[in-house]
Amino acid sequence: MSTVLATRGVSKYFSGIMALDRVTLEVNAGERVGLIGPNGAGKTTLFNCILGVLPVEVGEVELNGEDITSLPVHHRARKGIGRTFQQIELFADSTVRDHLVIAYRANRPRWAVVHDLLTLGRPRPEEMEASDDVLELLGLQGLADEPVERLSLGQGRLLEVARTLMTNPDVVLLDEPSSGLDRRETAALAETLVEIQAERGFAVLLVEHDIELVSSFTTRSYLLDFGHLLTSGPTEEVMASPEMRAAYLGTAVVA
Amino acid sequence: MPAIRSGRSTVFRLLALLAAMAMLFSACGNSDDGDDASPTTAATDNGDEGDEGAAGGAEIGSAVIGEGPHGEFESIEGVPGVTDEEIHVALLSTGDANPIGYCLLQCQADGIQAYFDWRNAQGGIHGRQLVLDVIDDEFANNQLRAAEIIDGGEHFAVIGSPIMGTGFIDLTDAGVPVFASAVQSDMANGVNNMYTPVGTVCITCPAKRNIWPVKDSGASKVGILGFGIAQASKDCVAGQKASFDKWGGPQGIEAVYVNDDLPYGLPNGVGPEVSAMKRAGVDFIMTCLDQNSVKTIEEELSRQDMGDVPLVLPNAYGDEEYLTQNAELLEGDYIGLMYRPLEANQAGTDLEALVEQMSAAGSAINDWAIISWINADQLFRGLLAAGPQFDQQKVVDSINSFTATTSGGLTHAIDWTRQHNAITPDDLVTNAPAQECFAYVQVQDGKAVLMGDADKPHFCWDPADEDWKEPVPTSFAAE
Amino acid sequence: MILAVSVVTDFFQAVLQGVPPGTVYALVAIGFVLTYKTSGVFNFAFGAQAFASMVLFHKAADEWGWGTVPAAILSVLIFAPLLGFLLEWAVFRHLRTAPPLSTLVVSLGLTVAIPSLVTILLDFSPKSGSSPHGVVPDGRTVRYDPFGVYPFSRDELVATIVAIVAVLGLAALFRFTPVGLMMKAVVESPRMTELNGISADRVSAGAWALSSFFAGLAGVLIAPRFTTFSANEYFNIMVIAIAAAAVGKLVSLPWAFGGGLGLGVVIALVSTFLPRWTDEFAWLKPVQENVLPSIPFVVLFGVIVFVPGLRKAIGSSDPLAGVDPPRQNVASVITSAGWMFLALKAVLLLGAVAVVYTQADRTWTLLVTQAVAMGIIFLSITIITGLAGQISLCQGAFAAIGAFAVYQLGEVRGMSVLVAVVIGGAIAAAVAAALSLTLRQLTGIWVAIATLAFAFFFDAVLVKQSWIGGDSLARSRIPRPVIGTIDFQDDSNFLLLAVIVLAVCALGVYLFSRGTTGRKLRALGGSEIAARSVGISPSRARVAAFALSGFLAAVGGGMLVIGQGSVNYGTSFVPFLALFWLIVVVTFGVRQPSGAIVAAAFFILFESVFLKGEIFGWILRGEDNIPSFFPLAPDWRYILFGLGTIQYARHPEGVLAMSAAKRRARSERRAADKVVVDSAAELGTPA
Repeated sequence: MSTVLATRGVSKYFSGIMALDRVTLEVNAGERVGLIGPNGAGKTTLFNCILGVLPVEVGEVELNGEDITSLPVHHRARKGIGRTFQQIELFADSTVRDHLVIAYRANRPRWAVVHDLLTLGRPRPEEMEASDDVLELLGLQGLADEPVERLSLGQGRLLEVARTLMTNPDVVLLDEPSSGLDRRETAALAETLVEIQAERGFAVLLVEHDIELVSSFTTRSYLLDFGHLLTSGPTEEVMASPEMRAAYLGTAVVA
Repeated sequence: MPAIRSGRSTVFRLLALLAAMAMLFSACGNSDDGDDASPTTAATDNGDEGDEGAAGGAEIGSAVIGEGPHGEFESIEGVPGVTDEEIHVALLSTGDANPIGYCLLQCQADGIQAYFDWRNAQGGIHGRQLVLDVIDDEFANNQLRAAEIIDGGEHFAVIGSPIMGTGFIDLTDAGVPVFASAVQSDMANGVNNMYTPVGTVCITCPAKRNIWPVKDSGASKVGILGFGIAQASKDCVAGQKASFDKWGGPQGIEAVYVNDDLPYGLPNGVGPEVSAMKRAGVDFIMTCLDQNSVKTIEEELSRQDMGDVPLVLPNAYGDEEYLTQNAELLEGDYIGLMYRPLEANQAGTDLEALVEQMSAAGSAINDWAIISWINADQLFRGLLAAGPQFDQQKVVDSINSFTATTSGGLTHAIDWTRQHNAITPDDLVTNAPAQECFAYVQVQDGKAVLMGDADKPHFCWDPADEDWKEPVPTSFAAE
Repeated sequence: MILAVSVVTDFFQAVLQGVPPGTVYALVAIGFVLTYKTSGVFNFAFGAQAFASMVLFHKAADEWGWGTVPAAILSVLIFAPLLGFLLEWAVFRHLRTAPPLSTLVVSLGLTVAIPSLVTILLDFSPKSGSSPHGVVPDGRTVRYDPFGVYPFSRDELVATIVAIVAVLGLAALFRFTPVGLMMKAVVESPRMTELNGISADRVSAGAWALSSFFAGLAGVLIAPRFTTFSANEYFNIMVIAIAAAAVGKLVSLPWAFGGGLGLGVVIALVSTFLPRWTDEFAWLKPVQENVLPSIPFVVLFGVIVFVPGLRKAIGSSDPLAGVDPPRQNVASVITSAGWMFLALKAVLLLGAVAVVYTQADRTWTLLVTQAVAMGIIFLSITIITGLAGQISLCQGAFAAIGAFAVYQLGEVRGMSVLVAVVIGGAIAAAVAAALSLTLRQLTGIWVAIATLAFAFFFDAVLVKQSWIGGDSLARSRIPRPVIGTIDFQDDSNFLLLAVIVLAVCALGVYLFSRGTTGRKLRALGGSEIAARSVGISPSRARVAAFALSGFLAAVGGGMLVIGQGSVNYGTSFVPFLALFWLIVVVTFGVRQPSGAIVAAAFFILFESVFLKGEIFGWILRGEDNIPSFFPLAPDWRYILFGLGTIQYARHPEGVLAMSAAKRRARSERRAADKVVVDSAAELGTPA
């Protein structure tokens, strides 16, 4: 199995405070990997380092074997990293279709000006097709022309996923997708994720607090706490490990 | 959804609608008046009658005009600004919106009004009274106001020296006679219906008058200062420098410090510049700056122990407040005038009338007022010479036939057959007046004191003379 | 040996000569930093506040005969803090959660409005020859020479001492007292401060009073350095002060002080020594001519671009910001509901044009042509600010590039003027693109400041170059184009041509907005991080927007000067005016092309139609019936539009979109009501 995404010894400091300490992890092609740990462990920080939002002074980030540590965010995105956000990030004043179209176009640079003049800025047929496919995949068909302000939180999260799919990513970073969703919505989300991952075959690195979602969706997991990688392995094993208990529940002994 | 406040948007919509409609209706309204009236409508044949007018006209330029009545009344149709009772003249200049703070509009209006009052009291011209309409171009709207004047057809001529005369070109193109000042020389060059007090001036040309005050003060090392941002200022510096380069040597005078790059407003002060002048041994300073900047320089000179160095001051003539408030700083400074100073003997010139009229009106008698009086006089003489069936073209032709007009003894003799074109640095003679004259006063104890002979206050040079000589004291008063 | 000593003395003397102007810069810089630290607002209007106190001081001292000390107390200790209270209560308190760019626009509006308001209310008109004086008696004439090298006047010494005391005192205030900490806390998170039992409103009011007091103090102290009482001087000095403040990354008072003093000294040193080197090395002459006036702006630009850590976004990262309800978003592309309305607008516009073409006389034709040209310029603002979300304060410079290109190529070189317009547009586009590339790492406010620095640089250095501004603009007569047999010398014909150009540009803006780059820009505006995460390159999109914006501004500038027949840089394109353009466009709606066009109409016609009272003459049927308080001073234009920016901060979509949104909300409500009524009818129950 080839390694799609890898971080090698990534450390991150904020004004002397250490947020990540020599974190090394790997995600292989088509794999679903979990990244768990208590709040403040540094999971989102690691995502930001992988994507390039935060600069990395120590360590490397590799994508498909290529060192991308010094590339800007949009280059990394074009090379195959997708990401969703813990606090949902949608484009205001746009419709669902607009989101998908712009993600599509951003990754396939062409003589945009000429095309724009010919189509007067409206989406082109192949864009319509691709976005329709993705919408169907995520169960959002029928919402194509809705302004995103009208979507529910769950729909919005699915739209974020749909948006990344339009860029044909090799690996998708999912940042707490179930945050703010109730049990029913989370279950539906889990189901959808499994389907589309099976269909499109991208790798997933999932940050989550919902234990059920992590257990059902991921095969392998990493445990992060205070910026340190405590343990890793098959997800059930990590869940049952003493490090896991210590990280989430503490080590105090109750007499 | 939070409620959107409604008030302002409705108001704006209403305003927008009203604006659009007002625009349409105003446009409809104006078109009736102005549409076909082109300023030079008088269909009289210029050919034959022009000769007669011209012959009489040339004399009128230099004649002493008596008490009146002036001209004859005849009915005229279709001449803009002319009715059976009145001739309307526009003053187009800049009022309070003037960033430099000079008194332009008001002072120019005062000068013209004084002249009009004088002539009107004598019966007016061609049986009509001269009426002045004051139009403020508010600094930015000169071209628009000019367009209104052209369209309106209610003004015969335009007098004025605004800060930016962008509309003057349109006015002259439309055949309106325009009377401006030396500031508009660039615009007036070669334009046969635009007049300035002493003929079109060449700012970049060397001028003999610049040598005189330096010699008078006994100085030998001259500093010249101008702004970098204003082309007029740079041209002025160039002209001054050329004067000393050409004629300074034999007089033992040299321009040792030339700076035409001062930043406008002098935000950083002039400390280093004055220090540099001190090091160069400057003992006289020529300025191409405004009054306020000169004050700053004087203060810095005083600070660096150069308070005795004389300057030539811009435009400050007649500004009593400026002179008295800054008496110490300005002590020993010179002011140059292209007209006869008030401090000279006024008999035999129109200065007497000028002083009388302006004092009666309570107006300040300063540089702009006097220049505007001269403008008004030029127009008047043109009207007189053009005869009772006058129009704009005839007046222009008349003035252009004057070969030696002095505006009532106020200036040296101007030859309008040649002096619409300015002299050039290569040819200082062809378009020069017969005598190039200038007057100087000096500030002493906060007052202007005449330099030279009170009866012959003009210092005159012969333009054809290659070398600089002591000027000939001259008077242009009537004998 | 003697030479060496004299150079050292000269050096020392130059340093001393730089202190008085440096103190001025330092005072304003300190005040500016103080405002920023205590209120979080990038207060451009600091200079205007200083001007207001200065005017009151002179009015009281000179005209009302109060004497300097009572006048100083009135203007600095009473009026200035009161003004601060008023600004905080009426304006800035409501902008705490507004994005920093909105607050910048509001402060720009106040910069424009306050001087005009003060001038009118106090009936103030500057007089040539009488210069501002200071607070101490004989301030200008009594001098002290502590080093025996260069004497300082009393005014200057007082100012320097006050600056030193201020910087030390304020630094101590922030370091050692809870007051400073409280103010900073309120800036960062008003809600959290309140949760800790401190009234954010009270602290905020106090902060504004303090910084406004300092503005008044600075205003009165620096007045003697200026040769005139012009509000312009106080505006120009803001740019230099920002350069000094930027040295301290906007938050360090000692660095602001040092930066200001340093600037003054550096300028004095360069003024002293560069001419000497030019005497020896003649090739330095162009450097000398251009370096001196450009030093503050080059410093500012350099600091912004090269100092790291300045790129950190200005604006609060308030953890409790999410508590506010989300701001209402109004669609920036008018959807199908507006079809009929759009058509109606087009018909109205064409109708107006037709009437003007056939009926208007020269004056109105000229005016409307100017409005059309300004419309093209304003479209550039729609692109760069409305679409790309950047505040560019150098649109005047771009427009001037177009104007000068037409003059140089069209008149001086005899090229076809329309071709010259296009070339001018291309040049401006290139300049804009280069500028944008240089600034691509910067966030909103710094882009604004950098563009302002560029505008001033253009104004101070580039305009006077003979290959740009030319040597004799006075007699210039820019020819009108000739296409085939149509001669556009006829003003009405040229108006039509201008309208066609405007229509093409508006269409271009519309297409650009709906096209790929437009979509990318909107995505970046919606969520920059998400946009980047799908592969959108922010710098490329913004460079494209800047380039188009430069092109449009230049085309508008070119058309403007062809219409007028000459280039009038001083009344058409100076930096202050470009500021005002932004404000007018923002008031009417910066996100749609129609906003720009309406704004241009208002900008040009406002004076003639409203300020002159002509509209009342029409309503009341007769010019004689115009109420006597007309014509209003042109200042009112600045006041009304300047204050209008306050409206902008609450409704960034602008007036036009606001009414469009209300219309849609109304129709939706009607539809909803209809549903209720229908279903009630069906169910047989009352609605």
